[in-house]
Amino acid sequence: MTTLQSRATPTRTATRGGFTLRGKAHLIPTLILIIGALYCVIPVLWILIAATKSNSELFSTPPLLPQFDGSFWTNIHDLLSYNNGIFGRWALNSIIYAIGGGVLSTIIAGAAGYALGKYRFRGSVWIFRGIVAAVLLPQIMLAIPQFLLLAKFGMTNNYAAVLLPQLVSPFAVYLCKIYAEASVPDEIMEAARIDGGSEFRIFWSVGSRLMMPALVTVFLLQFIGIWNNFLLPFVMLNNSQLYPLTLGLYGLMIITGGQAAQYSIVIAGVLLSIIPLAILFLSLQRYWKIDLISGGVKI
Amino acid sequence: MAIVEDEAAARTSTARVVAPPTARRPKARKSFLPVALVAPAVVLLVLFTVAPAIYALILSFLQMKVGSGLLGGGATEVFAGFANYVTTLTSGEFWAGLGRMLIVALIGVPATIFFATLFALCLDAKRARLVGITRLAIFLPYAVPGVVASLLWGFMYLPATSPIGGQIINYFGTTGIFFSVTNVAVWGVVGFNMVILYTAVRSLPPDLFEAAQLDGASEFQIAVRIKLPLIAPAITMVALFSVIGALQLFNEPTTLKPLANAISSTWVPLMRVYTEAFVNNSIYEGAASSFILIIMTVSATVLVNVVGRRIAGRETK
Amino acid sequence: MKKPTLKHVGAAVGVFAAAAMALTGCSASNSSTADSNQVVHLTFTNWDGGMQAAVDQWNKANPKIQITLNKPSGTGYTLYNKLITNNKAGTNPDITEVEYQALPALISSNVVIPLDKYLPDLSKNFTKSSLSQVQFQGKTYGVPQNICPMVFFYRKDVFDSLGLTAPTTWDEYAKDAAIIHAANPKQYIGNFTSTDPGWFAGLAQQAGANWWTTSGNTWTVGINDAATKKVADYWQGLVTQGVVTPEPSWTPQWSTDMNSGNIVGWVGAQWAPNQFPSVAKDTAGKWVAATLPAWTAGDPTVGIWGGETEAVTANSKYPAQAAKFVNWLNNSNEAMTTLITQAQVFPAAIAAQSLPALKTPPPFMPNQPDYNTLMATAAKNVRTFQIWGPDANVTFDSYSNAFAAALQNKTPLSAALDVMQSATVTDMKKLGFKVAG
Repeated sequence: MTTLQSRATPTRTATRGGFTLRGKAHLIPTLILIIGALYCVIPVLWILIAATKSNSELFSTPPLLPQFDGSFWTNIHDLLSYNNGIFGRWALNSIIYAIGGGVLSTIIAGAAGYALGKYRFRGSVWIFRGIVAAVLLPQIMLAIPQFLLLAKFGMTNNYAAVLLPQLVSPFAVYLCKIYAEASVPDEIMEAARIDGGSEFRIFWSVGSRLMMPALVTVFLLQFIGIWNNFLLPFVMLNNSQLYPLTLGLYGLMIITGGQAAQYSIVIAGVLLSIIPLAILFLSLQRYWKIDLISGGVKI
Repeated sequence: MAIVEDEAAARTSTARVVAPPTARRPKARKSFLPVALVAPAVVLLVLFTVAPAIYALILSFLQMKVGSGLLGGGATEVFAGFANYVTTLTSGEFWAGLGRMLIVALIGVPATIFFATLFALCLDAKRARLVGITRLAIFLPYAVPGVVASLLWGFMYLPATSPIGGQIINYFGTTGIFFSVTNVAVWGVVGFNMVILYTAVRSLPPDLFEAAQLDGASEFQIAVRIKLPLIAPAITMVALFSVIGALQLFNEPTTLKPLANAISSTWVPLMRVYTEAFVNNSIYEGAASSFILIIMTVSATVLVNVVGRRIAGRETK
Repeated sequence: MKKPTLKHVGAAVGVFAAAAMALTGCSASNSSTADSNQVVHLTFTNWDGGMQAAVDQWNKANPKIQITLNKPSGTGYTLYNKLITNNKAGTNPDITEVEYQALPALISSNVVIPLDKYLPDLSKNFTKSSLSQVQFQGKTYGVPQNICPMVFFYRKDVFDSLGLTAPTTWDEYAKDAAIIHAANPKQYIGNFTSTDPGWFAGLAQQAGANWWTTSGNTWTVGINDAATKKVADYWQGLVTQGVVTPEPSWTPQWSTDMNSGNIVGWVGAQWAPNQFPSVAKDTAGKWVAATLPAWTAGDPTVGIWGGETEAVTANSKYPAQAAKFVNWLNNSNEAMTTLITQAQVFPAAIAAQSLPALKTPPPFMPNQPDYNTLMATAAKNVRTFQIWGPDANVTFDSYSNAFAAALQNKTPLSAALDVMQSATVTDMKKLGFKVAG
């Protein structure tokens, strides 16, 4: 165990003399975490290694042995020049869908959550129940009817067709409602009213600020959800210029006439598409406050 | 449904998120603000969820009939009664698919909860090292789209390209396939659930453990005897998400399907819905299967809710 | 969805091209409401590798009819079902690629339209067999692009080292399979794939099967007929003996096996050399194509695997212009030359079958200069089903499931045929087709 520990953190162990002497019991949590991290990271690491291989090296060299023959740059180049550089377009589309959809749905969910959490008005209970029930509808089931209905108004095959159905997330509304109840104290609202603030002003300058941690979390959840969504764009879009990354990469992954699956290109694409998400989470880690969900669920 | 007020459970959750009792709700002046705030969400929900769901319900009672002639040009939709529901409910393959889904759920849900809890408690352990990096590493798979995750694991599993012993272990065997599919699913969500539970543990007031520590309780004892019961509501929620996730199992087996003989296009119920709608061009039967699934999902959710409440109630006593 | 759908092989005309163009041009101006000075923009869905070159060529020569090529996110039935769904929405492209086996389903759903009034007489430049894939009840729904006869590919170096030559009958194939596997237990003469229904259908066609026949407006379905069962039982024997591997094609595993020499033969089709570079790049020049083994020595009959036509959708506002492009693409020597060099198509158009571009073998087969001569011979001996059923998608899906399950659980393949038969008949009856029996 000590060896494993020191292998994982050679420099740290050296400087923390007392650490390794403390006995096995204290190493167990670290060891469990390292094993868990390896389990989660190996497939991602494999992408990184596989991205250094050409299509035929992928099938002829040891899986975890990177190749340093320049295939990595060839793959990246092939990917970026594929079909007149359509990968860049897909990446841009994914960003448009995920940021646009993420921001708008967070605002919509925040507003609705605040209203449902802090006010009681006619139908508010039923609206909330309806929203909770909607969490249970599988997306696969809704995708085709959504498509057919949008198609009746000639609204498929454009950005709006992918954005609109994702603008309201029942789960996000639910989250915001719970958080608004918990984090916007009635006393502050009352005090603001006594000071003559309008309801809108209270919402804007008090409610929304207090709810900010929840809104960031909701945005991140929505961002990932939309970024990773495959089925909805798959159903809605015909035009490859509008595809997000998931759909574009999927198209490269399946075997099509004239070219079997272009694994080396796909793998390079996967690598490039994971990087922005990893950066996003590294930089926003401290805003990531999902506990507000669990605290609020009263089962 | 899942969100029934329960005093006992509410008390166990962190102090700052206890919901205000209804009686203390502010007596707001007459204002249109709440209605205006909730309107966009409701309108969008009606347009893009309720309306399609109703449309799907209607479709589930229809079927396609072709016109006359050899190729039957000019197909029309006709009323089918409960025919689509009968077809689904009497299909052996539907029930077999449901069985396979339950097997995956029975392995996957406990595994997700167990590992997410384990990692969360380890992250919170006093002397754990490398916390930041391992937390990020375990969370990372959540950022990998499902379609891509299965491609990755396909390479992991197939003997020719496997770095994890696919040459010896048959990941696509009749039994092995259940573990292979479950593994991809668990891999994708364990980090997300870990973060939920970790943040729940972190928000427990530290003075709760200090007394125990002074009494000489070991870190392990504190984790199991004190922290674990206190995060029971969060664990229940993780369980709820996992069950809903299992019932909606689709991406993983679908993407693994072309790699092996072990997975059919109706392997789990949602794949059947997909195949009916997208391959066999019978959205009608697909809609009927969906509604049967929804009824089952609702029942399962209620069940988890009831069981969870019992457990939570018992542990706080 | 992820089925390796068919590839190209091309078609085109030559001698009659000028006349054909004149004809379609003429009918186009009669039937279209478009202003003669207005530029017509058409969308074209096609997933073939080299298609952009042909489209560019057309756009350059026809400034008034501009085509935008669009690659679909899903191929095969994923695409066709999308076309059927989108048809109601009116959002289909003007022109789409359709594999032969899917055309009846698209006609039955009114997705594609008859093109007779826009097209020249195709019978001058296409064989009856080719036209039977696009003509139904006296109406023409597309111009056939290619013929994809099934062919046997084998690693000549490995066969030579064992003193083997290409098997001419299925009996010989079975014997060679045993010899190869005995010499090196890691090696197989081929794989039996559950992911390629079109492949198995082609083998059944060679054996004399007729999965769908019609009489008047009544269908007869014979997927579990004696000829098909013979094919299933034959492969069953090879799989049970363990001399053929039951792994699916088109997986990373299969690519590795093909590339590393674990699989040394492939019952494939004309388009295979276009796939080889991405499947087994390191083996370039080592493969040789031979006539598909026969059931009776000397019988040249082969089935087809794949093949496509271009069709015009009911959603198109400019069917005349679209048909003009379709006819040019698949019925002109200039377009066919491009498709032959870019996508190694073997043309269905008779005039294009003697194009100079066919004198060069595909880049992957440099050692077989007469590759296309072999294809031309095979193309003459093609036998297909009388007609593809209007729900061949259900049949194909059922093949994938039933054969995969049979291989996985080691149950008889012939029983899987019964499953396919009943799934197909049930679906046709449910849709309201008249089915005998």
